[in-house]
Amino acid sequence: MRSFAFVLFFFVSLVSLTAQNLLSQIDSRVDLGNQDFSGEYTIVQERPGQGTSSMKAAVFRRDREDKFLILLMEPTVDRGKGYLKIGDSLLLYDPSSRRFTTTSARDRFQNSNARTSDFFRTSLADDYSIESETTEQLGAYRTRVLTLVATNTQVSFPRMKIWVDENLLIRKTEDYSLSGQLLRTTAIPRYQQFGSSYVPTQLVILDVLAGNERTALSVARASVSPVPDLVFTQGYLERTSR
Amino acid sequence: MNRGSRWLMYSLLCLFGLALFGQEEQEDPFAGLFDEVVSDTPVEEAEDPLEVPLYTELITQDPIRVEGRVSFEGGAGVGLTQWTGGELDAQGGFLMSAGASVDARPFDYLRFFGSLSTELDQSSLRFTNPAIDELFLDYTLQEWAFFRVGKQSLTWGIGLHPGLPKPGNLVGRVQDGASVRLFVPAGTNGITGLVYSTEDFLGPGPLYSDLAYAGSFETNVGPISTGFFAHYLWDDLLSGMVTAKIPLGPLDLGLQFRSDWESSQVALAHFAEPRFRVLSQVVYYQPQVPVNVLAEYIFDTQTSDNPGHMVGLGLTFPTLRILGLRPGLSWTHEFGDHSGQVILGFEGPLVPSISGTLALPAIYGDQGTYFRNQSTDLGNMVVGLGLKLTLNMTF
Repeated sequence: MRSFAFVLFFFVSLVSLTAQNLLSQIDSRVDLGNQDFSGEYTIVQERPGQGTSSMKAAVFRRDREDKFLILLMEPTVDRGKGYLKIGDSLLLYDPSSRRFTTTSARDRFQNSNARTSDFFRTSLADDYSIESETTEQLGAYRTRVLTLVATNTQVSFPRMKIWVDENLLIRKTEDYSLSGQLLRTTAIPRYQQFGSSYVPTQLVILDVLAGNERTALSVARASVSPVPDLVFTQGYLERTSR
Repeated sequence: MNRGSRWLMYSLLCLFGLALFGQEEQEDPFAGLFDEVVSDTPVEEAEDPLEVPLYTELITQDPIRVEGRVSFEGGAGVGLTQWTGGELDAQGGFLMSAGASVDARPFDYLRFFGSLSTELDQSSLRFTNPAIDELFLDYTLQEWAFFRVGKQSLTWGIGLHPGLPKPGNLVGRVQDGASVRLFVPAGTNGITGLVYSTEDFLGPGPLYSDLAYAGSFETNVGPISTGFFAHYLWDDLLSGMVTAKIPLGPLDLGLQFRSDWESSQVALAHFAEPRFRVLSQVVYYQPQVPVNVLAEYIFDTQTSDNPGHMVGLGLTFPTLRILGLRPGLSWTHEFGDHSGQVILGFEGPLVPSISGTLALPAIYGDQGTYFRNQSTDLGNMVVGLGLKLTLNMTF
């Protein structure tokens, strides 16, 4: 009986390990490793009955040091505002007051349906465990559909469903509240490949909670050329702001 | 089930089916996105070497930029001068200001910025002589060291509540004079060195005693963002400060500890006890929740001339609008003299370029207590109702 329990424990541990390994592999597809990333993001938001608004932001990423910097370029009124993420902390820079304030990383990006986490690599293996798995045809993609449950409270969403294609790239996500309410759906139809890593270059976000507001993100001038250390500091935000 | 019930059930099913059909007819926001497999084309390694990097272009894309701004505020208020037996008082006024700035960036490593402003004096109805708000030169050495020289503003410390003192702002006087600031990347963030002087510091002594020296090192230790700060002024104070902020679930927790020592030997004989000031902070900020919270608590060991034991609470309601205006509530309290202030406010745009603020402020505490002595829009009133209209224009 004891040996049966041991075998059962071993089997459960193995399945769990394999599942976490799958999440690690998914994470590694969008981890740029030692490369820096820079790109120009255009964010177009359609609010039902309120028309369309757009903004543009420059994004710099350094995955190996867990840093990114977002600098708003448009609209003009927000130009020079910036977000600097270092590890788990996120600094906001307001050029009018020349002041930095710290906030948690789950904030919506500039009151849009995008979140600051949408600009960064995922860390599913650190934050989630797999609850169930099925397969599904997503348009032309044959995908594995994983239902994930958060393992900590730092994440934006306590439950997620992700559609993963045969290249282990996430093509679609559904974000849920703790009570199981669908909050947000994201489609990622296009990635850009850099060596063995990928960066999402087109995202479409549907915010169910906000009355099906649709936000489209597209990336131009994607590059993995080295970026100076100074860019990932408060000094760069002060230097570029108006 | 009788015949009538069956018909009812059938009708309901038909309606349900129609509703389902109706839902299917809704436009799919993701239609066509996955109709074909997109080849995630690798980027050719040969990125144009002559193309200006994005981090440089952001700095130099507008080599020169001139901006202007005009602001007009007009307001009126009515209230009581005392809680019991007070008189009804009313006051009104206006403020007009204008300013202009120039931002020149001829090279990615060099920048000049200057900003001037003037205000309309209500008593003489003349615009005051333009004042220099900021005037500085930026120089970046080898994309590594960032210098800012001139008249500049800078804020240190984690304090956010507008109704409380900011004990962490060691460099609050830097905007009154001229300064040289250096920033270099270090740790996960960077080191700042600052030397500055103001008119108040200038004296007959040697030059070094007319200057204030400050420095900081900000970095991250795991999930904690920390800062170490120091400020020194000859014959005045030596100040040291440590700050720490950490996200905990939906909350941001902050702690700030400041200590001051008299740096004059003469003063040291009379005042050897260092002064300690602690600020703790809890922030709950989410754009789509019914209420956001900012709570701060300040403790100061030297309470004779300063507020020593204070608390501040701020509430905003991001999803709530009353007649199109955003409500907010602020409460500040000084435990030492039991004075405090409560403000209920509503703010928002009324018509294009004009915003309105409706405020109901109330001050409590005896005459001469901290909040009764604070300069506020209430003047000599303890409770009132005020309305302010603001017109802003930038060009």
